[in-house]
Amino acid sequence: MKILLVMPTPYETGRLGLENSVWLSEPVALTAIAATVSDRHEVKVLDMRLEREEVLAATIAQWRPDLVGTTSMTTDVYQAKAVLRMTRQIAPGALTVVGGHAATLQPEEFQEPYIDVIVQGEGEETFEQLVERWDAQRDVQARTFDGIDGLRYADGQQWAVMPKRSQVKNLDELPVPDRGLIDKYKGRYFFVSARGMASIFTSRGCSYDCNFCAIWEFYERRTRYLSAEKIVDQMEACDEQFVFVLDDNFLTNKKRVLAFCEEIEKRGVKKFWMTQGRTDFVADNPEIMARLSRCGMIGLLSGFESNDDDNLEALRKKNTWEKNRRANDIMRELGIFSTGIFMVRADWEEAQFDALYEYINTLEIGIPLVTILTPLPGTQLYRAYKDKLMTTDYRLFDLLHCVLPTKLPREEFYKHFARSIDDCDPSIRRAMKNVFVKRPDLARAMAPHMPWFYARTWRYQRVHRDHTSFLRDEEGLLNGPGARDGLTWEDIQYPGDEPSIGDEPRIEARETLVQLKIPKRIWADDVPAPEAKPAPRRKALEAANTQVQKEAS
Amino acid sequence: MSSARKFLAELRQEIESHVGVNHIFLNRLAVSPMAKQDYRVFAENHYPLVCAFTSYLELLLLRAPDSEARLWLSRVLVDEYGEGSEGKDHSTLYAAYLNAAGGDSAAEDAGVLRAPALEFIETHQELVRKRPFLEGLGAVGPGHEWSIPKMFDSIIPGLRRAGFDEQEIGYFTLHLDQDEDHGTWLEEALARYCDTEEAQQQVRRGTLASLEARRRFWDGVQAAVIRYRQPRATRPDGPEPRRVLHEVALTAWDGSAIGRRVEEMRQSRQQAQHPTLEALLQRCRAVG
Ligand code: B12
Ligand code: SF4
Repeated sequence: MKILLVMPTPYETGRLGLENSVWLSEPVALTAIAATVSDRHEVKVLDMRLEREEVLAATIAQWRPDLVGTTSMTTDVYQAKAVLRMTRQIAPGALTVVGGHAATLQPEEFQEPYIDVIVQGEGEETFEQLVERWDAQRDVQARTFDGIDGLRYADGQQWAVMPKRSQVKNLDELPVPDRGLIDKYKGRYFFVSARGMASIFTSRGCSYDCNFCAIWEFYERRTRYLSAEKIVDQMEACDEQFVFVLDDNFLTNKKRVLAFCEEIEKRGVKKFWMTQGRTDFVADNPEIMARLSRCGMIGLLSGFESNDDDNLEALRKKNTWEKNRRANDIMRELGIFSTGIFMVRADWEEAQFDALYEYINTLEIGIPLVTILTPLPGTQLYRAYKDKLMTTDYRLFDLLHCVLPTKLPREEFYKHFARSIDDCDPSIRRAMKNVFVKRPDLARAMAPHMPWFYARTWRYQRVHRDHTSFLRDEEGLLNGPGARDGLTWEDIQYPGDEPSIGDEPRIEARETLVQLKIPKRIWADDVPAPEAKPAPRRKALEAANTQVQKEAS
Repeated sequence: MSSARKFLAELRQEIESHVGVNHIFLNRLAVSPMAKQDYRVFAENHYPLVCAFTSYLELLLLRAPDSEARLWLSRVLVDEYGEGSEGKDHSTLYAAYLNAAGGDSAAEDAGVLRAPALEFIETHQELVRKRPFLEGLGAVGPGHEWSIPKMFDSIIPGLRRAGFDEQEIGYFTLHLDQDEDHGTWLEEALARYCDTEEAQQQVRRGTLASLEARRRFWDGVQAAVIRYRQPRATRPDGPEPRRVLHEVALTAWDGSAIGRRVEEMRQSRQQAQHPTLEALLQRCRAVG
């Protein structure tokens, strides 16, 4: 049987998005499920982010796959659907399957006549069984999959929902993702100028419950780990010098982190690797961080989220800005690139933007990623605000567009959002210098790709800097079908009479989970705006502007 | 099944699975919430194709070898001129849609053609004028009549989602039925011709040339929609990774005022050289 697995492309080739300049990782979801497929079958992976568009249709028409699978996060919902719709049109005999975060958290979105199966949750075991069943049934084109847990399939006019699949207990039992299937793209995945970057995962899940994140719901609030031996086996097997560890929270269990360090040291593995993790772990464990740094850690992506403790609390981040600051200091000291993700909010005004950018500059974050707090489907935040959305166009849920009404006029809001690029520039420059001075070996490894990275980033930033880019993206798509018509900021005033944090649960988590006490009020009106001090660079710019205006008049 | 019928059945299948007919852009239109603004760009690019279609039929009619072919071509022409659509010819129907999307059909009539439409129309004019009759018939016959219902099946749901009413999208819905009819008549007409290997090859060549032009046309329309949304595209990688020098040169070019001006001048000069639709049709009729 022939199986085609497709990583969809973001629609607009020039669209703003991380994969344009900051981070393009391997399609691990696809190589992971492909690894479960028996050798009797033939598997192809197409990464459409790196292919010409017509290759997809041509492959379906000429190779005639028996099964086409694709993956989707919320922003890619339409891309995934387009892939499967096209498959149905060209090769109606092929089974069409979708999986991934969006398929799991918003399955109804995929209940379409051209989709046969929606895989929910972890995909390995489900896919393995699905492939075998389809192989047995495809001659008679029977597309029902009763008895396979973790999926829903179209059964006539109805969708049959199978019981939830219990998660694989021991990640070591899973086959290693089949990276051979993406050999032809080797060297093209990157994080910043770490180009030629492999991607692996070493754990799944997170035991925190931030209300803007669905990871903990997806993985049922449990974290599972690969053993240190398996992780280092995988690292060793990569030809690439750089490795991205895709875990959502790598830094969570001290014992396993130390076992990992031991294994790396024992085998003398010399790789540069980066991952994602919380700042409180870094702040509380400087000595472990120092050891990780010696073991090749060069970067950490962390959700700093905010420069304000009340806001962190409202997001259920269970962290403080002081820990953010300490963590950043530790990373600076160790020469680890700190990539801080921050979230501006729809209710912000100029002063809050200024304060955030100033905070970033004070910290000297290597790569500050300023995003917009977005109620992503599957999150608590979404449940609270799903009736207040200005758009249901999932392309705009990329954390770069505001799907809620903004307090400032939208143009103003995006002006302030767009200036993060220039206003946080001092932070980036100082941090880069610091890392390269402290880690000459890393500087040497990254230097060859620096011009490549800067050239692309400059072009990306040119779009981002122009606030009208955001307005143009959303033109005609706000208050569209499914969204509430004519919604304004006033409709979303977050009133002071809401019960405060810690009250009765108001929003229900998925039924499989412990019901949490989730505050309805996420945007606290009584939270004072952080003190509004314009960032130094901005002040200078303003002074210069005033001077120019004076001269002109 | 006769060899002609078998050939036609296979041809139909080939058309239905062709990249031009199942273009990813069409599938995106079918599933994504596009706005009227996107459909305006779409309509401005597509409108000339609708206006030019009758010219292919007229040219082909002049070269039709027998009454069977003439009959089919005239039937389609009559429909294009308004039979079955309350006397409104198809370009008038399309103009209504273009205007509903926020476009200006009068300005489009007077303006020069955009590149994707120009290339498509020229390719077809060439096929109906200069290639053997059966190649031309392949292009306007199966290449159009058997592909349009499937393509419009992708387009119509998106138009409804974007808020167009049934009257405004009458051009598209009408074609679902009419082209099915034309397609059936066509099958009969073609069955007579396609009895030799050579005739079959000619029909197939014309059909595929038309579909290939269609693929390039959709590429162009998609690019125009993207440019409308994001004029300063970030030029992400193509199928081959770019060399560092190439990246740097692109950035320098994009970033320099001179580079931008040169590019703008080049584009407007190219555009200025394009004919208007009317001029193109007249030129073609004169030569025809
Ligand atoms: C790498 C990554 C990226 C990469 C590329 C993503 C990719 N798909 O390759 C980049 C950097 C581009 C990216 C960008 C973004 N990302 Co991201 N990303 C990740 C990350 C960290 C890892 C993805 C991964 O490879 N995981 C490893 C694989 C093995 O896990 P998996 O994808 O879940 O796959 C399993 C199952 O889902 C299932 N499965 C998946 N696909 C399929 C398909 C079939 C056919 C089957 C049967 C099963 C199946 O089986 C797999 C094996 O068990 C995840 C977090 C995470 N833990 O997954 C976030 C995550 C996917 N990203 C997220 C978000 C929000 C974004 C952004 C919108 C915002 C941002 N600033 O990060 C942008 C959007 C970009 C865009 N295109 O618009 C969210 C998505 C939430 C949602 N509701 O969809 C996640 C879950 C992070 C989070 N904390 O919530 N991201
Ligand atoms: S944001 Fe990070 S810490 Fe919070 S739940 Fe998600 S993965 Fe865990």
